[in-house]
Amino acid sequence: MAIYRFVGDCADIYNPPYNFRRFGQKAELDDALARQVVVGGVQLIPEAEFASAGFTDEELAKYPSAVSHMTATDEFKRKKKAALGALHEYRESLRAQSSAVKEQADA
Amino acid sequence: MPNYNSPFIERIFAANQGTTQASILAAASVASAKLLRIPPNGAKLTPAMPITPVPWKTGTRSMQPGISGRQSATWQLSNMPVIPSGTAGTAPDADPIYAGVFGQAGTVVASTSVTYSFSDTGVSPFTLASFFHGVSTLTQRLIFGCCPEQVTWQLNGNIFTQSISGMGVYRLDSDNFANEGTPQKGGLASYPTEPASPSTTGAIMPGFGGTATIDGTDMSLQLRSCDISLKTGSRLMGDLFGSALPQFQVGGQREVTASFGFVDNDGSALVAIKNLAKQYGTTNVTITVGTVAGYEVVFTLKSVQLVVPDMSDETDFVTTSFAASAAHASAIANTDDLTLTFQ
Repeated sequence: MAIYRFVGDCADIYNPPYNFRRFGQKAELDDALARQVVVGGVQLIPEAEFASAGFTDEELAKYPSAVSHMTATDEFKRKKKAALGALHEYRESLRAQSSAVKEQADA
Repeated sequence: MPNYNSPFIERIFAANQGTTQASILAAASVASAKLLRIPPNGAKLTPAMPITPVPWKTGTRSMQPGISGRQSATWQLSNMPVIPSGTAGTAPDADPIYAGVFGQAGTVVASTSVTYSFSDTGVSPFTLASFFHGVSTLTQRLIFGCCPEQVTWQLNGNIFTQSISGMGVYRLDSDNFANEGTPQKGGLASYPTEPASPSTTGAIMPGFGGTATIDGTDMSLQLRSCDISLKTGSRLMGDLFGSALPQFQVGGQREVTASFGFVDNDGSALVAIKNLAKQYGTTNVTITVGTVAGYEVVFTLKSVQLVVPDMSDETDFVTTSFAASAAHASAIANTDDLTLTFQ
């Protein structure tokens, strides 16, 4: 289990149920489940990656959704772009790990 | 007492089968399939298993049982909501289907966009699977080797929707799996179980709001109806000597069209495209549905040759309708008649 942060607008995991509705929402997930859903599209990044983007509590309270991000400050938008960049890197690294495991299994 | 089925416990999944022509389906790919959000009656997975009648005179006027004919399947996803992921740079849940439509995976630009564009030589078959959730003894179905043939995106409705249909290699079901032949099993050793922990991203969005740039001018505030259609030109080749099942995709010419209905007026933008149609000219069209980053869906159509419009009376205004007008590649070597971007 580890702490992840949601950097999307809206997502659901069905079993066990997680409903993500706020940007920056925190959740504790089983690592295997997190790997599966992140590769599948859910916008979660590890807590440490999220922290390095530098969001403040005030920003997260003020800008919880994609609609609210339209009027966000440039500073927030810069941090969001960094968080989405981290999501992309994290997802690609998980995909690479999955491919390596599959190749080993096939061999 | 048997379990009685309900349409509302059904879940429809799509799983990418890779980029090869082979119709082999791995159970693992079903396990990681994406859950699609489909309205009631929105998904049809139909087996095509004709019976060839016995052709001889039997001496009576009564029929005799036939033999199995060639087999395949058809599928249809009707009025399925277009649901972006809500985050620029993350593919939508329907990614396996869009990859199948365009013949290749979308191009991801981190934190910016996912763009689907045509491949003339690529294939990206996928599996559509229907599970009646939680009751594994009900008839679970799947079609593997799906090949999209036709797509229509319906703009300006309360919900942004699309209808997609095509062929598949074979429709398997859980009831009869043990009796199926090896090709019909598609490489599976046992019938797949329902994905244990599916996930979805993004929310449904309206089909209105955004921009419609035609011939360089945003005409979104005159546009009342718009459909964008694609006939992929792809199909499964099925009448081969060696098998009753289709074996691979072949590709004919694709056809992209857009139709528009405008509130008639004498503004320069509408007059300009009326004139363009009369002169058999071409123009580029860019339609962006949505105004929120993560929920913008951009259709870029090149060299659209507008059909000469018709006019019709409504109760209190006049509509100018450009019927299905074809888009074309921007140059001989290009395949950019349509690109679809989620951003």
